[in-house]
Amino acid sequence: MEITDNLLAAYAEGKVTDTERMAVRQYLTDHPEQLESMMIMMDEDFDIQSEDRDPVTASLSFVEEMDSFMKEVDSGEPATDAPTIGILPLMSKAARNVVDNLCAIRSEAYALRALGIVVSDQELETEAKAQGLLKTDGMPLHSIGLLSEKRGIFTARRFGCSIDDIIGAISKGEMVIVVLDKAELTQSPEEARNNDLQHGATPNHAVIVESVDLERRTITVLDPGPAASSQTCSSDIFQNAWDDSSRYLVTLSNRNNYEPHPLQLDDVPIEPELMELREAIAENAHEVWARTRKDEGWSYGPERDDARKLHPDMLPYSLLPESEKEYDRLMALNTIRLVKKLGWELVKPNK
Amino acid sequence: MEDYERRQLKVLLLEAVGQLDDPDQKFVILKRLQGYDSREIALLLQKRWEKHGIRKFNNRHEEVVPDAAYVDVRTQRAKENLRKIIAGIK
Repeated sequence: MEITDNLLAAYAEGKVTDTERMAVRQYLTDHPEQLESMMIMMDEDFDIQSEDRDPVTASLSFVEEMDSFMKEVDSGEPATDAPTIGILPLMSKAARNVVDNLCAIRSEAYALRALGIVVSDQELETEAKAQGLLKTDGMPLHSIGLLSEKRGIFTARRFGCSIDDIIGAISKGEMVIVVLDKAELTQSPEEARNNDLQHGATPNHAVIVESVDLERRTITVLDPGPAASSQTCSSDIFQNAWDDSSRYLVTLSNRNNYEPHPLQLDDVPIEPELMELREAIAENAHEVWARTRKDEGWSYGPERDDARKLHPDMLPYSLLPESEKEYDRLMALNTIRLVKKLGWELVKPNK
Repeated sequence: MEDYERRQLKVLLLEAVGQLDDPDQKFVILKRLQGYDSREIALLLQKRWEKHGIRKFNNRHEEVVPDAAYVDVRTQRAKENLRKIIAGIK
């Protein structure tokens, strides 16, 4: 097919047939120097430029800008200081095993047995199904460990962990389950990046971390189940595969090694209009707290007195000291950030 | 010379930019590719709104004047949309 200027212009406007689109894609792949012209054709506001900028200078930076931007889209990480959110994969599609949907169950059962709890894979699977924890797609990340908690095991679920966290947990005798993209355990970093670009982050497998070899910089993971197998890979490869679950870690232990590990939410931008929501949530949180206290017999007192059930904050929100309001606002702000971090959007219906 | 697959992905990325529904998102990405930073793009976006007679108001009925933060939020949303578009057109 002949690639004419008209065809390129039509492609820029998205007004081409599938056959034409494939032909233009092929042409642009073979002629990357044409990408900048294509970008200009796409910009119906190309006439809007800064008067202070030399257009030649800007033009020269296109290749670099394209590379930089591609890395940002590719990795989900910003190369600039623009705010970004890495949406956490919490939903039921997460932890879907590429073979079946039992990897999380098998990993948890294996960990329980290692901790001295007598339980079979089948028993845990039946229990998970009965409690609705096991979805068709697999087990939601936030459900991994729930069946262990019922058996008195200390369980912690965390995002954003590091290999040091794994080492710390193993050194304390904890069992460590991680969720990762199974395919990426055998892929080079470049292949893993392309995999993510094409298919998105795919946390499709739960495994036990058996060991970390700091000297060789390798990690060995165990794939429990009927055909249990261990796999050792470099820490870089492991990291790429683990990144797909936002480095999700579940630790199981017989001992209480609890350390608070709140989600890092500072990277979540809040639109100005959501600040109104923050105030509404903060005020209502106070109302809920006050109602609960009132139902329990508490009333206002200038000093807190647990014996007489008096509390200085049993006041309308507007009369609370700013320090108390700030506490509620911080809780509200982090709630909004968490909602966004988990992939939901907050949108006014009339907008 | 970069590898063929990476060039393919660049083409898909640019095609996806062309498919962004939100005009502001498309604008900020195209200007970013032209080498502008967020502060500069905010000024250009203001010009775009003036050119097309666009006025935007927030919930307090105050007229919105785009700034670098406004551009950054659009950029971030565009990146999220681009990932979805690319996954769809592959």
